[in-house]
Amino acid sequence: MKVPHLRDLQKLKTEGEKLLRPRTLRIQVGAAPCAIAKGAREVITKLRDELSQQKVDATIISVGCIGICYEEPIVEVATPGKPKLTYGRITPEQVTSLVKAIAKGSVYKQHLLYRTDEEEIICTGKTFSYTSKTQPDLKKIPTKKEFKFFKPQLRMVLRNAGLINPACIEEYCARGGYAALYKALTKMTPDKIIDEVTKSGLRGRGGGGFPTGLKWKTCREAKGKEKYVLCNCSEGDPGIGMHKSLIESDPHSILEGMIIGGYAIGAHEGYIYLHHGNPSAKEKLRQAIEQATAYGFLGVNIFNSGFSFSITLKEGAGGYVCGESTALMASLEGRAGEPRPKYIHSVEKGLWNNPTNLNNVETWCNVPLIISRGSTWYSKIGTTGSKGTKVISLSGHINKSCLVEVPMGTTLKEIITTLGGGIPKGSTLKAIQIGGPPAGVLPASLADTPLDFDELNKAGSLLGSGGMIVMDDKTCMVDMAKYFMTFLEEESCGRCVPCREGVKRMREILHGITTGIGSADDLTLLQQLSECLAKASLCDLGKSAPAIVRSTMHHFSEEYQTHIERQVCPVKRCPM
Amino acid sequence: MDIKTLDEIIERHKTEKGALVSILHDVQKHEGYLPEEVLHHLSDTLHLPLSELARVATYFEQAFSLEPRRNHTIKVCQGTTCYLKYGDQVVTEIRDEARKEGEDTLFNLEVVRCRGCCDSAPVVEIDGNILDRESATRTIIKLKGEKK
Repeated sequence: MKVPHLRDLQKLKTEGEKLLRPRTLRIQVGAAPCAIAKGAREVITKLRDELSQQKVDATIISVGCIGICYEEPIVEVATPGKPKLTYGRITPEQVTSLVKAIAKGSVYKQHLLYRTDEEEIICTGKTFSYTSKTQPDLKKIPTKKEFKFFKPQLRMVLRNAGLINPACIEEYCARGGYAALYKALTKMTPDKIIDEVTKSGLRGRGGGGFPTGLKWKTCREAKGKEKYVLCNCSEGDPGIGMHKSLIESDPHSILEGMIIGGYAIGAHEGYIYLHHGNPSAKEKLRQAIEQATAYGFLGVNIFNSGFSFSITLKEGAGGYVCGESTALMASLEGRAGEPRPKYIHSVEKGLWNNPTNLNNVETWCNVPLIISRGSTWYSKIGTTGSKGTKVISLSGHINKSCLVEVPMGTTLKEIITTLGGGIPKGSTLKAIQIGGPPAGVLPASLADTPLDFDELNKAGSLLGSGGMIVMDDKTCMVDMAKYFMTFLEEESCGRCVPCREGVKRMREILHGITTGIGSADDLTLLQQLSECLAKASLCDLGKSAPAIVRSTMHHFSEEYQTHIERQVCPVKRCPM
Repeated sequence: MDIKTLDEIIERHKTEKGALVSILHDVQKHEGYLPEEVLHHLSDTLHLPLSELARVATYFEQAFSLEPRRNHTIKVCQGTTCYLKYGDQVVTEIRDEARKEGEDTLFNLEVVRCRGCCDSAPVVEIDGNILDRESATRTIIKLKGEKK
């Protein structure tokens, strides 16, 4: 197997830069799930036809998700020596006019969103410029930095998303990729890396917010024949597609993070556990592992450091509970994905009873950046207790669904108004749910809560994995509680009684309330069951299951009352 | 499923630790379901009790099926955003459409959670294509027409 040297990395970087700033026309089409749903595949076919018909020489590249879901399908045109232009809502019907404009060397103004003269490469802090000349005819068009959607954002984890060809390792290297790996393996000791990660203040992005450095340290110090690092890509939450999107947009950054983590912890094997049913994400990861192995970033004696590491991609078989660490490990071992009691931590005895460090996709993607730029730089971003940024998938009753990344400390309201474009006309904000099923809902009055692990906990919610659902005044909160309990009932693995029976009973009671046969005693029963589940369930799925019921009962108690006393659903959502 | 193909699948995962789920994925992909005789053969070859195999195969009901699959798969999304936008009504609508002319033997109807395209909510996925409710209904009518 090939051992890479610094010059190989530099060669890859130069080749990648040539691809990103080509001598001929380069057209990028966003092809993540949201774009495909809006017809990106048809756009690519039509582009190919039109380009050949109008005899325009261009390369078409499928890229990942740039995050502006509401403007999909998005097409970016990079003409040599000119700024890169980004067009939105390009349906197959618009392709002909777009190609005509390209052929003439002009601009298709109606659909133009912004121009990119230069871009900051966050891994290196350097600028990558497309043109050195100012273009007078384009002056009126906002630059990417001025574009409203990007202004409040700080795209660290999503640094390459939608900008590079995810199937091309050269383009990843052109944006500073694998330089952190080189630095870590040749210039840093494992202890130094753990020290940097600890000092950066990085906390696990999977939901718990456990300090990553401490987790790594415990795993490094644990005794075991083998050690493993795992990447949790089991995304079973209803309403979140961001890991899928991140994998499809930039698979190499996950690998780079994992290899650095493996070196720091003393592991030689890594596993990526991918949620079932994502064929395109699976293919992107498989390709990335193959490329990284071919170039020697994975394999034996990486960068002549004596360190060897391999990554195996494993597809899960469904199940929300498989996102829970011990259930995930059971599933990786080829068994049914059920959790086990956690009095023995998996960092000491995890996969095949060996010390195992599990982090999620977003956490791993942060690692190369911390190594490249240093913990001092990283820890300046965010709040006192929560450093860095958070990727948020914003959807629900909102004008602009999107995938964004903002510094910790940004308030929920800011995200809704500036990035999501507010609530559709005629409605008002009623509640926000951030963090998926284990998190309680927040009423509109708490919309000023900042994105911060501790602040959100205090408010009765959870940062979770960052799926943010906005609900307007036409949402019935009892119905929402029933919806989440129905989901959790389906997904409960059935191993422990409180969760298996409790969630079912809670769902039944809520069903009663929403169909007009609820009684005043139901509320007491719900309270008691909530307490029982929170205390006695085996894993976090059961423990956190009552959160949604508790929070809706707390903040919207009058809605429960109306359902029970008057057998009326105030917003007429429930069938009564 | 012939034994040779099955043995090839087992061989492919020989060095993989905890390969059972991966093997079952391959069989499911190849056959469209997990035939009983396959589970028996796997039990003998992998030296695993049949009960353990059945447990894994039925635990992951979203991925594995013990019965042959029908020709087309409809996945109606019930992610939070799709639900907020009355996705539950879409489930009923789609189910009714699929079963309009008596018992439906053409479609596997599944309820899934989030396909990652919430901006288009509520969505329905038919044979891998994401559609809105109107085009989903049209597609079902078209597919039923093709059968006749």
